[in-house]
Amino acid sequence: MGAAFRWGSLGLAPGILIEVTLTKGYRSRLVKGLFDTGADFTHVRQDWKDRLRVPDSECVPWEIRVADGHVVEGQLTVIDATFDEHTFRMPVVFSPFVPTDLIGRIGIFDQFKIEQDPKNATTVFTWVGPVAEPWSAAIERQWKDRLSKKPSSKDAPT
Amino acid sequence: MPTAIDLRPYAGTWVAQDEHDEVIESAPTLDELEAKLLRAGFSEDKLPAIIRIPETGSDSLLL
Repeated sequence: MGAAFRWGSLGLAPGILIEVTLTKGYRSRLVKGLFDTGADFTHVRQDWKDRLRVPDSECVPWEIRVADGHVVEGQLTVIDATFDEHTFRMPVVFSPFVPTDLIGRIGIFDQFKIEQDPKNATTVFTWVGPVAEPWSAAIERQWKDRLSKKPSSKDAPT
Repeated sequence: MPTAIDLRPYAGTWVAQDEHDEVIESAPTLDELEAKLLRAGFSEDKLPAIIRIPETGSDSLLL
Protein backbone atom coordinates (compact mmCIF):
# COMPACT_ATOMS: atom_id res chain seq x y z
CA MET A 1 0.00 0.00 0.00
CA GLY A 2 2.47 2.62 1.16
CA ALA A 3 2.00 6.14 2.43
CA ALA A 4 0.67 8.88 0.15
CA PHE A 5 1.70 12.47 0.77
CA ARG A 6 -0.09 15.38 -0.85
CA TRP A 7 2.05 17.96 -2.56
CA GLY A 8 2.30 21.47 -1.16
CA SER A 9 3.42 24.78 -2.57
CA LEU A 10 6.17 26.58 -0.70
CA GLY A 11 7.21 28.45 -3.83
CA LEU A 12 5.75 28.69 -7.31
CA ALA A 13 5.93 24.97 -8.08
CA PRO A 14 4.48 22.25 -5.84
CA GLY A 15 6.91 20.24 -3.75
CA ILE A 16 6.75 16.83 -2.11
CA LEU A 17 6.04 17.43 1.58
CA ILE A 18 6.53 14.40 3.80
CA GLU A 19 6.24 13.73 7.52
CA VAL A 20 9.00 12.01 9.45
CA THR A 21 8.94 11.39 13.19
CA LEU A 22 12.34 12.14 14.71
CA THR A 23 12.94 10.57 18.11
CA LYS A 24 15.64 11.20 20.68
CA GLY A 25 15.12 9.27 23.88
CA TYR A 26 11.59 9.89 25.07
CA ARG A 27 11.09 12.98 22.92
CA SER A 28 9.57 12.80 19.46
CA ARG A 29 8.49 15.39 16.95
CA LEU A 30 6.61 14.96 13.67
CA VAL A 31 8.64 17.06 11.27
CA LYS A 32 7.06 17.95 7.95
CA GLY A 33 9.62 18.87 5.35
CA LEU A 34 10.39 19.10 1.69
CA PHE A 35 11.58 15.80 0.24
CA ASP A 36 14.78 17.00 -1.42
CA THR A 37 16.21 14.45 -3.82
CA GLY A 38 19.20 16.75 -4.31
CA ALA A 39 20.22 16.47 -0.67
CA ASP A 40 22.24 13.53 0.61
CA PHE A 41 21.27 14.17 4.21
CA THR A 42 18.23 15.40 6.04
CA HIS A 43 18.84 19.01 7.07
CA VAL A 44 16.54 20.54 9.63
CA ARG A 45 16.38 23.87 11.37
CA GLN A 46 18.50 24.34 14.46
CA ASP A 47 15.27 24.78 16.48
CA TRP A 48 14.64 21.01 16.28
CA LYS A 49 17.91 20.27 18.10
CA ASP A 50 16.53 22.14 21.10
CA ARG A 51 13.05 20.65 20.89
CA LEU A 52 14.45 17.10 20.69
CA ARG A 53 17.06 17.91 23.34
CA VAL A 54 19.93 16.50 21.35
CA PRO A 55 23.03 17.33 23.43
CA ASP A 56 26.15 18.87 21.90
CA SER A 57 27.99 15.75 23.05
CA GLU A 58 26.08 13.79 20.38
CA CYS A 59 26.76 16.19 17.53
CA VAL A 60 29.82 16.72 15.35
CA PRO A 61 30.56 19.66 13.05
CA TRP A 62 29.48 18.86 9.51
CA GLU A 63 30.23 20.82 6.35
CA ILE A 64 27.49 21.28 3.79
CA ARG A 65 28.09 22.52 0.25
CA VAL A 66 25.02 24.48 -0.84
CA ALA A 67 23.64 25.20 -4.29
CA ASP A 68 25.75 28.29 -4.95
CA GLY A 69 28.97 26.44 -4.07
CA HIS A 70 29.48 27.90 -0.62
CA VAL A 71 30.28 25.63 2.29
CA VAL A 72 28.36 26.18 5.50
CA GLU A 73 28.61 24.30 8.75
CA GLY A 74 25.93 22.39 10.61
CA GLN A 75 25.88 19.81 13.39
CA LEU A 76 25.45 16.14 12.52
CA THR A 77 23.79 13.59 14.74
CA VAL A 78 22.24 10.19 14.03
CA ILE A 79 18.84 9.49 15.56
CA ASP A 80 15.80 7.29 15.07
CA ALA A 81 13.37 8.24 12.33
CA THR A 82 9.96 6.75 11.71
CA PHE A 83 8.38 7.04 8.28
CA ASP A 84 5.30 5.12 7.16
CA GLU A 85 5.46 3.16 10.45
CA HIS A 86 9.00 1.94 9.78
CA THR A 87 11.76 3.02 12.15
CA PHE A 88 15.38 3.30 11.07
CA ARG A 89 18.52 5.25 11.84
CA MET A 90 18.80 8.59 10.07
CA PRO A 91 21.68 11.06 9.92
CA VAL A 92 20.32 14.55 10.58
CA VAL A 93 22.17 17.82 10.20
CA PHE A 94 20.95 20.74 12.30
CA SER A 95 21.48 23.97 10.43
CA PRO A 96 20.65 27.61 11.08
CA PHE A 97 20.68 28.25 7.33
CA VAL A 98 17.97 26.04 5.81
CA PRO A 99 14.81 27.99 4.91
CA THR A 100 12.66 24.91 5.50
CA ASP A 101 13.31 21.39 6.76
CA LEU A 102 14.74 19.22 4.00
CA ILE A 103 14.34 15.44 4.03
CA GLY A 104 17.28 14.04 2.07
CA ARG A 105 17.83 10.74 0.29
CA ILE A 106 19.52 8.73 3.04
CA GLY A 107 16.97 6.46 4.69
CA ILE A 108 14.30 7.14 2.08
CA PHE A 109 15.83 6.39 -1.34
CA ASP A 110 17.52 3.22 -0.11
CA GLN A 111 14.47 1.77 1.67
CA PHE A 112 11.31 2.93 -0.12
CA LYS A 113 9.86 2.64 -3.59
CA ILE A 114 8.76 6.12 -4.63
CA GLU A 115 5.99 6.83 -7.13
CA GLN A 116 4.78 10.20 -8.37
CA ASP A 117 1.08 10.69 -9.03
CA PRO A 118 0.56 14.08 -10.71
CA LYS A 119 -3.14 13.40 -11.29
CA ASN A 120 -3.74 13.27 -7.54
CA ALA A 121 -0.88 15.63 -6.59
CA THR A 122 0.63 13.00 -4.37
CA THR A 123 3.77 10.92 -3.98
CA VAL A 124 3.50 7.38 -2.65
CA PHE A 125 6.28 5.78 -0.59
CA THR A 126 6.25 2.01 -0.19
CA TRP A 127 8.60 0.27 2.23
CA VAL A 128 10.94 -2.26 0.62
CA GLY A 129 13.58 -2.25 3.37
CA PRO A 130 17.32 -2.00 2.88
CA VAL A 131 18.52 -3.95 -0.14
CA ALA A 132 22.02 -4.14 1.31
CA GLU A 133 23.56 -2.21 4.19
CA PRO A 134 21.42 0.88 4.85
CA TRP A 135 23.07 4.04 3.52
CA SER A 136 22.97 5.47 7.02
CA ALA A 137 25.30 2.78 8.40
CA ALA A 138 28.51 4.20 6.94
CA ILE A 139 27.56 7.70 8.08
CA GLU A 140 26.82 6.44 11.58
CA ARG A 141 30.26 4.80 11.76
CA GLN A 142 31.89 8.06 10.70
CA TRP A 143 29.78 10.01 13.19
CA LYS A 144 30.80 7.71 16.06
CA ASP A 145 34.44 7.94 15.01
CA ARG A 146 34.34 11.74 15.04
CA LEU A 147 32.46 11.74 18.35
CA SER A 148 35.14 9.55 19.92
CA LYS A 149 37.76 12.13 18.93
CA LYS A 150 35.94 15.09 20.45
CA PRO A 151 37.65 16.54 23.52
CA SER A 152 34.91 15.41 25.91
CA SER A 153 33.76 12.14 24.42
CA LYS A 154 32.91 10.22 27.58
CA ASP A 155 29.18 10.48 26.82
CA ALA A 156 29.54 9.43 23.19
CA PRO A 157 27.18 6.65 22.04
CA THR A 158 28.77 3.25 21.59
CA MET B 1 -9.09 17.04 -9.06
CA PRO B 2 -6.79 17.24 -6.02
CA THR B 3 -4.32 20.04 -6.10
CA ALA B 4 -1.24 20.92 -4.09
CA ILE B 5 -1.89 22.78 -0.87
CA ASP B 6 -0.79 26.40 -1.11
CA LEU B 7 1.24 27.23 2.00
CA ARG B 8 2.70 30.47 0.66
CA PRO B 9 0.28 32.66 2.69
CA TYR B 10 2.15 31.38 5.78
CA ALA B 11 5.59 32.40 4.49
CA GLY B 12 8.11 32.95 7.26
CA THR B 13 6.11 31.13 9.92
CA TRP B 14 5.90 27.69 11.53
CA VAL B 15 2.67 25.86 10.76
CA ALA B 16 0.94 22.87 12.36
CA GLN B 17 -1.24 20.72 10.13
CA ASP B 18 -3.73 17.98 10.89
CA GLU B 19 -3.87 14.60 9.16
CA HIS B 20 -5.88 16.17 6.31
CA ASP B 21 -3.18 18.81 5.75
CA GLU B 22 -5.44 21.53 7.13
CA VAL B 23 -3.64 24.28 9.01
CA ILE B 24 -4.39 24.14 12.74
CA GLU B 25 -2.10 26.88 14.03
CA SER B 26 0.77 29.06 12.92
CA ALA B 27 3.31 31.18 14.79
CA PRO B 28 6.50 33.11 14.09
CA THR B 29 8.68 30.69 16.08
CA LEU B 30 8.64 26.98 16.82
CA ASP B 31 8.53 27.65 20.55
CA GLU B 32 5.46 29.85 20.18
CA LEU B 33 3.75 27.32 17.94
CA GLU B 34 4.31 24.45 20.37
CA ALA B 35 3.06 26.62 23.25
CA LYS B 36 -0.12 27.39 21.27
CA LEU B 37 -0.65 23.71 20.54
CA LEU B 38 -0.22 22.74 24.18
CA ARG B 39 -2.69 25.44 25.22
CA ALA B 40 -5.12 24.07 22.60
CA GLY B 41 -5.05 20.69 24.32
CA PHE B 42 -2.40 18.73 22.43
CA SER B 43 -0.07 16.66 24.58
CA GLU B 44 3.67 16.99 24.18
CA ASP B 45 4.02 13.41 22.94
CA LYS B 46 1.23 13.75 20.37
CA LEU B 47 1.89 17.03 18.62
CA PRO B 48 0.72 17.33 15.02
CA ALA B 49 3.01 17.66 12.01
CA ILE B 50 4.94 20.93 12.02
CA ILE B 51 6.42 22.59 8.97
CA ARG B 52 8.55 25.68 8.56
CA ILE B 53 7.38 27.77 5.59
CA PRO B 54 10.25 29.63 3.86
CA GLU B 55 10.29 33.40 3.63
CA THR B 56 9.01 35.00 0.44
CA GLY B 57 11.11 37.35 -1.65
CA SER B 58 12.53 34.96 -4.23
CA ASP B 59 11.17 34.01 -7.62
CA SER B 60 12.00 30.36 -7.10
CA LEU B 61 13.48 27.96 -4.59
CA LEU B 62 16.77 26.14 -5.13
CA LEU B 63 17.39 23.93 -2.12
